[in-house]
Amino acid sequence: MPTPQRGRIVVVRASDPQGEKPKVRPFVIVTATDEIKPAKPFVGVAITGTFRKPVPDDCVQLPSRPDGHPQTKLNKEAVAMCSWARPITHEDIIDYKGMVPPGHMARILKIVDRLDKEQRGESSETAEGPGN
Amino acid sequence: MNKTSFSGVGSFVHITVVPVAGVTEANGAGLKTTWTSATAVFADEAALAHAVEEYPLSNERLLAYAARNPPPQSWYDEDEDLF
Repeated sequence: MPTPQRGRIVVVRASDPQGEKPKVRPFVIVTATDEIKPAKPFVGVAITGTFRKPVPDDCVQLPSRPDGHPQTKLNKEAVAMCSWARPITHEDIIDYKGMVPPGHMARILKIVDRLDKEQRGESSETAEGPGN
Repeated sequence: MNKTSFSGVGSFVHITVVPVAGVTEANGAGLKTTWTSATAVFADEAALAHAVEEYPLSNERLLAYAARNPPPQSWYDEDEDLF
C-alpha cells in the first residue's frame, strides 16, 4: 500500500474555491516525507493537462506515455503547476498514482522556493528555464 | 554465470549484468547502455538531494505558500483523465 511521500502523485477529493462540487484532482506531494504525519496537513502542487508551450517557467512537464508512463503513470501530457498548491490530508487522498522522477522533483522544489521568496520579497535566483 | 541486480529509490532502476567470458566485446554495447542508464538515475537522485539541501522547504513554509497560491476555479473544472 503506497503512503504519502514527497514526489508521490496522489488523487485527491477537493472542493473548488466556492466550496462546492468536490472534484477529484491530481497533485504531486512536495512536503518532505519525514514531515508528513497522520492528521496533519501537508502540501501538494497541482497537476494539469492544460498548459501552454513552451512550458511556462512556473511549470515542470512530467514524463508521460500513451500507454501510461512506468514511473508517473500519466498517459497524457501534463505539468506540475508549481504556482498552484493546496494543503492535503491523508483523508483527502482517494488514490495513489506514480512517482515524479527525482530530477523533475528537484526542479519543482527549486521553482516553489523561487516563487515563495519572490512573494515574500526575498531575493531569489534567476528564473528556472522552460519547464520541459 | 554472474548476475548482479539492485533497485534504486522507488524501484526506478533495476539492473542486471551478466558477464560472459570470451564474448565481452559482443555484449559490450548492451552493458554500456545498461550502465549509462544507471548513471543517469544516480545523477537524478543527486539533483534531488542537492535541491533538498539548497531549497529547504519546511511543511510550515509550504502551507503558508499554499494559502497564497490556491489552484484557480478553471483547474477544478478540468475533467480530462490524465491516467
